[in-house]
Amino acid sequence: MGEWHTILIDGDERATRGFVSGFVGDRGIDPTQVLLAEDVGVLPESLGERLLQLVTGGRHHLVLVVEAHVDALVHALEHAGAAGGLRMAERHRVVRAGFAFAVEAFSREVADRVRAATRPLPAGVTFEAHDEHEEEHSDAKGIALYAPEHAYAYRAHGRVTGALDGVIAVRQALAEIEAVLLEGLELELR
Amino acid sequence: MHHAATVDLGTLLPAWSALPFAGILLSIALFPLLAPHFWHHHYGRIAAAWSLAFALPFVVRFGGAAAHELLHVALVDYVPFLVLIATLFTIGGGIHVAGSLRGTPAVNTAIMVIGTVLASLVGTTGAAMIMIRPLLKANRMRHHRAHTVVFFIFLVANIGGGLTPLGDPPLFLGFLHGVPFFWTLSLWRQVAFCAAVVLAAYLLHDVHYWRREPADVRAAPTAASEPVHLEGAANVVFLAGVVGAVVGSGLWHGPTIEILGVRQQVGNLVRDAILLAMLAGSWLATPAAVREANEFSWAPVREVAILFAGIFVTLLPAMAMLRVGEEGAMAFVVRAVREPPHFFWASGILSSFLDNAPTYLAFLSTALGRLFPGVPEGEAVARIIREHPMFLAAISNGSVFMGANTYIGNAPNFMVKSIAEEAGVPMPSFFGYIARYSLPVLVTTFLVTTWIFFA
Repeated sequence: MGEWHTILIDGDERATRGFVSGFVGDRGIDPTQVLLAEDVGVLPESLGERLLQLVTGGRHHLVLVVEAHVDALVHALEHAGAAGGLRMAERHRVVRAGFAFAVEAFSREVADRVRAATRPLPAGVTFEAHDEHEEEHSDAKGIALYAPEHAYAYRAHGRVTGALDGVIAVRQALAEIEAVLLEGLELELR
Repeated sequence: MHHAATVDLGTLLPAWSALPFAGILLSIALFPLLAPHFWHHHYGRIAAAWSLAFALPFVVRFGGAAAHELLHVALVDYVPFLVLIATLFTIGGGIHVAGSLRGTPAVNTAIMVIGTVLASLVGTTGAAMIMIRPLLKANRMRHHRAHTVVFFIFLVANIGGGLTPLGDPPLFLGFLHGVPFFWTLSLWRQVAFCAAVVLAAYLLHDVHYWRREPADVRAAPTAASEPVHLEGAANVVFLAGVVGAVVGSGLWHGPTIEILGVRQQVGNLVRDAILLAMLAGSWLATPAAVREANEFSWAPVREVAILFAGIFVTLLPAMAMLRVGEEGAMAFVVRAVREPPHFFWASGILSSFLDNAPTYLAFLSTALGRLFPGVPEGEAVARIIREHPMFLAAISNGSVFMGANTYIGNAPNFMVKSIAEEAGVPMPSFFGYIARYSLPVLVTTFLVTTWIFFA
């Protein structure tokens, strides 16, 4: 999908969502090309920012937009945003994105779903500090009351980093699996 | 002779003779968390080591009196306890709920209610074994399932067992020590209150998570569903036989005979023989496919047989010291735990982390030692029911209910956790379970329970 940009909008959340929705609808744009960052797991970077969000009622909202539509979005914001109390606070290019994950599962089905969500990784997306292993205890089959041991265990953790759209796709696939613990999506901006 | 020996030993034993009891309970609590692989392979040796750590010096020091006490606990407590657990487990493992259920909040709540009621009939372990797989199957499409399994542990694996001696091992031990079978039914208010509050909390949780499920999960299914039906229904007859045998042994004691020098009532022997017949009947009458569907194996019975042999041996000095009240080396416990709320919370907190069956017996002994020091147990139990029933209610409720507070509080908790994890449910960690569920839901409920029923 190419380059992504972030537009930090100062304004009310409902107005921001309405603006983005109208922008996408009016131009017939694929809605996966203009996203509210919080909808795809981007968290405020620091505790201070989170507290500020809480105190100010979440006045700042980050929008992710592909390069093909960024200028049009900025233009629309400058001309129509003021009516909804919206204004652009910052604009950056996304260099890369990433998130950390961890999973511990005792079901082969869950392990297979995790593998299916991460293999193959989309183009431009890679693992960092990735560790994955399985254990089998063939003598541990059946239920136990006081000395339980799983016959099968799958553990994996690491970071998925790279191109934003690919990283979002992997994160969304992993988010479907209840056993996976996901950290927030982090963005490296320029 | 037996009671005199107990009283004598209780006043003679030093406090440190209870250390092996603490050791075996802590081993059961901590090894599965800290070293599950090691524990899985060596729990029998560890239990034997703790048993011998007490039994050898005990027999060397007290000779025939000690041997008599060990035989007494084996024949009067351990064997009947093991026979009942094995029988209920075999019968429960022969009942399988088949069919298609859809895990909506209403269906899940209905499963919880059925399981909670069932727990007092087939025991918490049996009810959990019967109901956990239908629950997991019904919720297979749900993205949020862990809370459902946690509340299942609260209700089916613990609180639901509080109504009869068949429900939870502590109450059966109480029955073996003279508490009438139907006396536990008088605890229905506490059981109903706690079950209703926890069930309401579950419904709120599940509605909350249901609303967060994707639309395709919440949509009504279009495919035809298989009607729900019971496989292995013949086991209901064997279950009725168990109830009849246990109730009957409380009503008819028969003559007393001596076995290896231990006095035993014929009624108890008849009961155990009938239970074993029910076990055999269930085993023979249940199709193998039903047991396979429940992943039935004898491993849990073997675990109970080995570990409770150690528990009953090492429990002996603690009970003897507590039973003599302030005359024994554990007078500090008797002095510290004085009123029903103390007994509710003391037995409950210990049951949260240690097995609840020996905890119940320890606090029953504490109460008897405090209220009727030196009085023979049978007479003291009858008097506590007649004169101070709130003490026994507090011990019974605390031991049964608070086994739900942690994964290690009651044996079925671990079994349910393990089955759920193997079905792909990410269960909360040991501390996550306590912080997210036990403290806000259970402890709050138990505080209100104390205020309403024991204050």
